[in-house]
Amino acid sequence: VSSVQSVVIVGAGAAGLSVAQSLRGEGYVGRLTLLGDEAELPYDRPPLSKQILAGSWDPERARLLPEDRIRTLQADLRLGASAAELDTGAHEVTVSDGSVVGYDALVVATGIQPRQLPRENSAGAHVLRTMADSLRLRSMLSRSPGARLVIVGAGFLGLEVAATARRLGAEVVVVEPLERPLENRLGAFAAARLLALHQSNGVRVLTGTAIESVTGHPNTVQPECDGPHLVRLTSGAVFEADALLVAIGCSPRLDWLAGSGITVSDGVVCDEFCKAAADVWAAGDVARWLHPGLDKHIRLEHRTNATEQGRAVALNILGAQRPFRPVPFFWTDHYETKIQVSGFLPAGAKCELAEGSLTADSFVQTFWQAGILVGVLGWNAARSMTKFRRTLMSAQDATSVPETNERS
Amino acid sequence: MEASNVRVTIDADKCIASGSCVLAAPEVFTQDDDGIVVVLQEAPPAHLQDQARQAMRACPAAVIWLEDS
Repeated sequence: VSSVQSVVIVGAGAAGLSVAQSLRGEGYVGRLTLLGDEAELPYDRPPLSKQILAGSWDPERARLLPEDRIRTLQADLRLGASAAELDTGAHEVTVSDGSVVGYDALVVATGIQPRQLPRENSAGAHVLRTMADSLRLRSMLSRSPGARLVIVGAGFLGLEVAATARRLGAEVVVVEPLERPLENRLGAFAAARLLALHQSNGVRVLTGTAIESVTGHPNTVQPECDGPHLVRLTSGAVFEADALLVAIGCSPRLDWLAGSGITVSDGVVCDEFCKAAADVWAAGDVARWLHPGLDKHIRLEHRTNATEQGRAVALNILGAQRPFRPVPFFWTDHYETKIQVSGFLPAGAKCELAEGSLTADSFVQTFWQAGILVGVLGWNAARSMTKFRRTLMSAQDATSVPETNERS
Repeated sequence: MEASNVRVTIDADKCIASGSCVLAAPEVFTQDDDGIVVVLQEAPPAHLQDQARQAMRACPAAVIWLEDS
């Protein structure tokens, strides 16, 4: 029986909310404080580069929970409030409004923030992490059909935005320093095919080159009104852009933990139970925990991991003492194409075609290491992927959904 | 026949075809050809309600709800 009477969750995104929901679902009746630094009710991020940016969903549609269900959580949900300081000795969090909240268990679920280009090149540049970011970019793209958008970074976010922006009528150039981006995430074949898909949809994908400089008259007060920028690449190419999106990855939000004694190293370093220190836990994008199957610390920026790890933390707070050993899963959508990956696709893994044809619109690839299935990639093969995910879970002797004795 | 006191509702338009619900509750959910969630038992009997609840929790797009009926 757990003696926890007060849980403070810092971060009201998918991971933080998952902790809260799972705690209540497991019958936790103590105090629950949820700090969210944005003003909006908790919302989901994957739609920000897709339905929200496209304008096919209102912002309310991306909410993680309807308002009445948030009320049933009986949480002290403080929006527009971030954590400023942590005192692990006193078991207290100082909130940005100056108030102090005590905890028996603290969950760090602060997520990540976009990396930026050097300041001289990023004035007026867009990033896409929050609802406000998405609406700002949407406003610019929808107001100026045919706008010239330069996206820095051919990762999943940059390319998803490229697809959405093309549909909104923008001219899109993607600039990527790597010669072969996404190979480490998708394997060589699917990575190349994804770039080809974008090229066939009219996106100019420039790989092996980086931003040399961005000049112009950016309006930093109203970034959506900026431009034209003059973009100069290291390859020597020069072109004009009406807007610049920087999508070069994210870094964990850890500043407020300085001086707290919590170990941070590209994330909050946790053991296999997602515990960072006595009575301190971490979940979601910000957590770097010891994956017992891999026997190394990893950090996953996957939507599914936010939910699963949040749940695992909730159960462990209540005393489950269960290592968190998920088989990762993520998806990414581009035009009509859905790519899904489960497990790990380590460099050097042997890749086999398991279903369909590599030249067709649908296929599944399996990835093998030392004769063991370690990863699966589905290209427009969602239904098949479920079967492969099940196989992968038994192959790795792991469950992606922690077991529970939950009763409503 | 077992009585059911819960009802499963979904928002299929928000489904991202992860199949997580099928992995958690194969007797309650399935997927169409595009991988989109289909409910097999809108009023799951008591012995399936735990796995249905797991599916609700596991869904990465939060499109599944269990309501008391």
